[in-house]
Amino acid sequence: MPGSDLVRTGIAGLDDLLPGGIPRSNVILVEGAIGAGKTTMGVEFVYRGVSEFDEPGIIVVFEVSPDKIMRDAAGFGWDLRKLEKQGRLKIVFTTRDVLRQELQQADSVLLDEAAKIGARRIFIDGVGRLVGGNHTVESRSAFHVLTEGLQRENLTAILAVEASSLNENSALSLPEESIADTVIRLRMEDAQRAVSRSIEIVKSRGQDFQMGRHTFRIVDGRGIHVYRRVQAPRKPSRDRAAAFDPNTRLSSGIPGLDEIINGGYFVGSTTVVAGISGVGKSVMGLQFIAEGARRGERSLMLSLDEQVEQILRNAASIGIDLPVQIRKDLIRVEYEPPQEIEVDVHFHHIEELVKEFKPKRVVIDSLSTYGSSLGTGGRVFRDFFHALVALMKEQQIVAVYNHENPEMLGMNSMMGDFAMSSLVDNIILMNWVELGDSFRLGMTIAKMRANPVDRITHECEVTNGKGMRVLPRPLAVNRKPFSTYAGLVSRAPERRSRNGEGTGPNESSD
Amino acid sequence: MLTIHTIQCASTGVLCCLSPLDSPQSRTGQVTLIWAEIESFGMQIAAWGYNQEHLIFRVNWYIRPTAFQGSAKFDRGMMSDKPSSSRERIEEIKRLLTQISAIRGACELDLLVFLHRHPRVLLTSDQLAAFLGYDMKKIANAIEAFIDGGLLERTQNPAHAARLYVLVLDGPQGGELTGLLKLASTRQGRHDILELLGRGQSETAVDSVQENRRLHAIA
Repeated sequence: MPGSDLVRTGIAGLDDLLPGGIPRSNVILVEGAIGAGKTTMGVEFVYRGVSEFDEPGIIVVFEVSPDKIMRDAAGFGWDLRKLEKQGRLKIVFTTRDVLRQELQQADSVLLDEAAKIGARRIFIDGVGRLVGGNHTVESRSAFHVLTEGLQRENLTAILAVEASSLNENSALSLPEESIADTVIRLRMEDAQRAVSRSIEIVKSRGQDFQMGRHTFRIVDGRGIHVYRRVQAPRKPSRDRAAAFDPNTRLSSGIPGLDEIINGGYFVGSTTVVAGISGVGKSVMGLQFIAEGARRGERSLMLSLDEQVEQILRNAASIGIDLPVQIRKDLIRVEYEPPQEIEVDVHFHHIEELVKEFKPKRVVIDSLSTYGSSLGTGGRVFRDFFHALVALMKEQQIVAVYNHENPEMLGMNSMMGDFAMSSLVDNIILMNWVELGDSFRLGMTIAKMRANPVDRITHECEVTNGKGMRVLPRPLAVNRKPFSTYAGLVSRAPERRSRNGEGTGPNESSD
Repeated sequence: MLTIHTIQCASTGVLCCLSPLDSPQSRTGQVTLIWAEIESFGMQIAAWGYNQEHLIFRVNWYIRPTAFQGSAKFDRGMMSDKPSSSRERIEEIKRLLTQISAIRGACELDLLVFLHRHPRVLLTSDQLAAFLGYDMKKIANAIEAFIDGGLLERTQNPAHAARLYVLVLDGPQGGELTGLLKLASTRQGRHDILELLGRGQSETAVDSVQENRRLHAIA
């Protein structure tokens, strides 16, 4: 909306759902059940206006005493008392009857008070009963009177109204909604015994906005933070960012692997390493970020499976000194517990981290834990992964995602229920191969976009103090190389006969 | 030895002491704010490198303004969590009530407390009386006394049933008002204030009876 006079709410993340703000003098109806955060939102709207945009404001309350409003605001770091002393804020306690009469009068004392401090914003907490709870013509009319009074003074107003039905996903609309210019619904949604807060902009006259239910949190010491839902479209540039550099590759850090994948992973590519637990996926991830640090490139490892201390210990066991690289600011390791992940919040954290740290390499360990947390049945996981892939591509990051495939021997599918292999550029299958009395480790490049792939299963080994390497073919040691077997990724590999047919799994047989 | 930062509240004359319980240099320890009025001292606290997480509030601990002056070092033994004696408190209440002549009874005290919690109210006098639970006449008298005493401002617009009442805390009696409100915020303090007000009223009543008898005798 170029050229229009937009009022920035100043509430973190909310203006991003709108084209930067709300048209001035809009009447904004904030609906929600008890405890949904209506008062906090209204008070923050006025506080941010006074403190950040030099727009004095008025808060009108009917039930909560102003000293409690001030006390609660102080918990968010908002010093309302100071703003009142400076004459930039007024908190007025009144009754609904008085307010209704006041706003009908041309010489309203309330509006006169607003004019004295040059108020541009007003928050009225609890207008529901002001206009009557029964959806009658009278209540509509009373609300109309209220909005007219506010618009006469060119005040941008937030009016909080209690709507208990919103906690039950009801589509019941209030009569005030048709009169208000902007309608925002706050909800508390049950999610598997947890509760999360959501915000939805239902309408906003004169502007486009991001529809749908977005997550928000009320954060001690800060206030409200809105997190755009992960499915919502980002900048158009993000999806177009796959216009990657078609030549530059980053080394995998696994000796022998780069040769198989034509020199490394393409910049901006998405790689999934799939295999059962213990097969070496995290080791590969650690070597990948250590290789980045060796080359002076920043790397980020996000773990949902292991805490940071454990990751440092694991790295040390394969000769990688992560603390040194962390101190040099070349590597960052982040852990987030997978319980009760709020996907919008989590994605926002990753987005902020990526933008701030600017890594060239990212390892995410693991997709299967996201699947357990978010569920693979609905769209949430897929949309989250899609957004993650788009973010990494936009930032031209080589991203490696570990994925736990539950099959110990052989693989019937690459990604199981995670139907998203089409979003992935490269898939590396890590598989145990039972030969004779030992499990040997096989690696198969199942997919590599824009690369010729031989799909040969290569043998790997993980050595204490050194990490993983892909063994050469043929093997230097006195063992039959994988090339002498058939069906390595099946559950029953067989030795090849001279005419190419299998003869049995016994490694010692000739 | 314990370093104690002290500053004096401009309005109340009450002293604020901050005592870092840990090394003041490290700024990691907790700080005890012995006398409240945290809003007034917020800037100073921040200037010392503390934030609200470092603070423990002990509002019942009263220090005579003359006890400490400026920043100094004191033995931990000088610190005490004991509340001030009731005699001191009662003396203080007497002093404050003498200064704030508008507070003459429970109605005025309750009006003051209400207005402190709602410093800017837009209400009709009926509503104000209903909120406080007193009859209209008493409330009207209390309001007039407050306005006369410079404690309250009121809009005058006969066309409106409601008036805007604004408590004046930064007036000449602001310090005393704050002190009295602080005392009235505790159960014991309120009880002591009401008892003194009641005693004052009964003394006045006794005086009045004696005066009547004297007048009757003269007649």
